[in-house]
Amino acid sequence: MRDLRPQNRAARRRARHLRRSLRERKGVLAALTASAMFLPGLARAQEESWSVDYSYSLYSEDDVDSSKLNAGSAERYDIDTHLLSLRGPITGRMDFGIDLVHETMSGATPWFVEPDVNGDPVLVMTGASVEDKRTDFNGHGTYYFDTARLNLQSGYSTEDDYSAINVGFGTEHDFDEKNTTLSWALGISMDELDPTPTATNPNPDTEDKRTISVMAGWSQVIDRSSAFQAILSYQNGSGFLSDPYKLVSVAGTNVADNRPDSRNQFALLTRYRRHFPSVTGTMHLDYRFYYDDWDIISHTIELAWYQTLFEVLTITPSVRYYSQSQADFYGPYFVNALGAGDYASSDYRLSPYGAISGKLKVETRISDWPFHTSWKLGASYERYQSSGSLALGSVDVENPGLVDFNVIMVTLSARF
Amino acid sequence: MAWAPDPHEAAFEGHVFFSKEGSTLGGDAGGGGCGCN
Repeated sequence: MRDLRPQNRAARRRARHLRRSLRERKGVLAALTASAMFLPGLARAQEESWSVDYSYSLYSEDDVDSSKLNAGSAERYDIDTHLLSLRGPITGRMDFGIDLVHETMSGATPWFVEPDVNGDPVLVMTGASVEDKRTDFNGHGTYYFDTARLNLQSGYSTEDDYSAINVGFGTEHDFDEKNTTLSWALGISMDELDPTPTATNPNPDTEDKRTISVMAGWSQVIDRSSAFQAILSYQNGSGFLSDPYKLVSVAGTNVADNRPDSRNQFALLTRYRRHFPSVTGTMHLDYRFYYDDWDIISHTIELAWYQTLFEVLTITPSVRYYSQSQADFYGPYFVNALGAGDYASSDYRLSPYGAISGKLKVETRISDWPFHTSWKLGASYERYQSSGSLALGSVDVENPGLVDFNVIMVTLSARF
Repeated sequence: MAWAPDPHEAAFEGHVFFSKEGSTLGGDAGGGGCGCN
């Protein structure tokens, strides 16, 4: 008679291995779900209940340093922002959400840069009279299949001198027991600028801009406490891409900011999340590489630590570093006349610089009280500073318009 | 994408960096609008 014991032992080993493997896979999902706040589920789950989120933020730019200011107001922008969101399930397989943003902006903004008597660039600001409001409405819905999701969103944004309408569509597909998710999305935005008349441009034309963006994403559970994501994005902008309110000093004369009417942008964003159960903390590490055909290359790295204390309190310190090279048609000012068809801008956003910001956020959760509702209350403070010396490459001439700012934000959320 | 735990924070920061930096793309770029100032 054949001795079946070795085969039986092997079969039992295989069965034990399979059970352990399944347990571990479930464990990965359970660990990710349990710490969803920190390691968000790769396979996004449907909203189970309705929630309302409100936040208020106060964004405040530092005054322009007197050594960099030649004329105009030193008081830069302040922006008050209210955000209100409502989201929840509308059928067993579908959820829906709306977001409403209202911003009030006031203060002065860089107008142009010119050389002082030593040839150093100094800033001419607008008067302090710039005031604007922006309202943004966005609706989005998701339909949930067993291992896939279909996302649709549309938004409208309006200001005194600007309006934009956008639509987006995408799908997400899960594989390998939801340990892998592949996604793609397509978005289109149609914008219209109706610039406010100024002394130097009393009869501005209405202009159009169109943006098409596509992205492809890959999310992967690495093990029971870590996950990785990569998103490749491409965006094409066409139409009027200049700034209607900025001038450029060319051979001692101020001319309108003039940029190409097309821009192709590419970015690779990578994200890593690792949960440390022993200290109830989670690390978030993001890196983004960016390139566009205006010749700007940028690197962004962001590190955050989500620390949970007493199960109801989360403290999140984070740092972000950003560095970009300049656009090929940028100059703080131009000494010589431009050739026919040459582009020119002295916008600090197209200049070479680096920026570092630090943030601290505190959030507390109160479950089922009052009104049988789960509450979340959060507050954060962020400081952002930019300069030529923070850039990865060497910067010969720093743009005097580089911005430093503070942001204070408070958030109240209720889940019914 | 739900990789940013707080969607409000992500939307707000996305819009700030869109308005104030020279490069915005990928992930959670938030909101439309001019961003000219």
